[in-house]
Amino acid sequence: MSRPPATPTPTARIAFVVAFIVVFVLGLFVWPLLSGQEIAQPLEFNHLAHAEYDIECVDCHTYVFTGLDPGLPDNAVCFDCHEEVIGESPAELLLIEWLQREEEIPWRPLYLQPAHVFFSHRRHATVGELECSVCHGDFGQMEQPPTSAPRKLTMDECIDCHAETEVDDDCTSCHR
Amino acid sequence: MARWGMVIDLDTCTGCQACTIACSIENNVPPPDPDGSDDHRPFTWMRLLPWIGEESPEAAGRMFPRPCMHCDDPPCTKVCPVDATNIDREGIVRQIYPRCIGCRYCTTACPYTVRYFNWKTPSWPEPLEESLNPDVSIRPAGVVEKCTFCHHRLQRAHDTAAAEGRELQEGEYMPACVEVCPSQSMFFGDLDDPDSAVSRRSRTTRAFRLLEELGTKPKVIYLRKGE
Ligand code: SF4
Ligand code: SF4
Repeated sequence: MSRPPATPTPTARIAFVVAFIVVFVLGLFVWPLLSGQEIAQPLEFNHLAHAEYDIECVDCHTYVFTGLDPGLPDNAVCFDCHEEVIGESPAELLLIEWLQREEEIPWRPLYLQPAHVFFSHRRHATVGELECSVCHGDFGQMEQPPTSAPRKLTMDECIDCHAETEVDDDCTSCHR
Repeated sequence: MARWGMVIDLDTCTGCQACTIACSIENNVPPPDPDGSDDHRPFTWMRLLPWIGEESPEAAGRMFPRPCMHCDDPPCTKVCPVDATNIDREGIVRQIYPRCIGCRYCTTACPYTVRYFNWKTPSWPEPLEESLNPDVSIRPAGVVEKCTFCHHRLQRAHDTAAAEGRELQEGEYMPACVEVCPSQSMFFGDLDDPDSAVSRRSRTTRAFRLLEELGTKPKVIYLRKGE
């Protein structure tokens, strides 16, 4: 004779619901916080120290007014000023070692677009005359290289800004 | 605002297929692979159709370059349930790949059969994958694609003009096929400008459009054999 199917007790039902809610909330809110990747740079680059000498973003991110991608500086850009030691920071000594080894410094980008997004820096910085800080936050005040993008940029923010400033938001301008 | 159009002179076209190759390279369209060929799946945005014009014994074989017609009244855009394809202000019928759900209504609606569905993830033989065009995205499996009149080139040209604070000049924007055509059988420009090379040619008695009777108002105009 087969047994009738077991029905869960009220306590088991409550335990199940509670466990479900806990896992759901952890997954939705806590996991994304923990799983954010930290990006470490090969050198402790100090943006503030450079900004204090009136060095503009474009001096190192060379293509910001002319290209899609503003670019990360290559060794030649650093070498222009740091052929010899000019300051007192340990980071500079490390930089000079890299330069003497004639090995390109593997700077790591904080902002990477998905493959189907084409964001033109020229369009925003030259044509739109936007300050870099509008999207990137105040990099010029940072003494330590940030380990993640100071501002997370989403398409909602693009669309909001375009709506506010009444600039065209044609799909294929960015997705093509 | 311009209304971009193309004129193809069938009398001087030699059928060399340079346009097909230039288009595929410019727009990251992969070359056919043997598996795809077995399934009849490979495609190119620009295709040369063989066409026998006259009756024997004067039969003359011709090749007939066929891109998207960028219809002024396109049937394809009307059937898209998610607005993944539409016509822009400058008359280009564009495809927004991240929006496309792959239902393929548009491929059925297009009377010129110039829309292609990606049955699988595209791949390139080595070392071609190293030389893809960074200005054009790689379409994933499951979306439809087609000729865009190389509209990334138009955007670049617009950006350059805007950055230099001037208007776009004639000849600054040209699709890859037109640029490469060795017999100079293809012309490109603003159909609304009465003096442009395409406008002038589109008004000659040699000009005709494909399946004109459907009312799609194609912006690719062919020139038949000269007198
Ligand atoms: S030729 Fe086909 S795909 Fe191109 S606009 Fe006309 S209907 Fe659409
Ligand atoms: S296949 Fe894509 S573009 Fe074509 S009708 Fe469907 S969603 Fe629209």
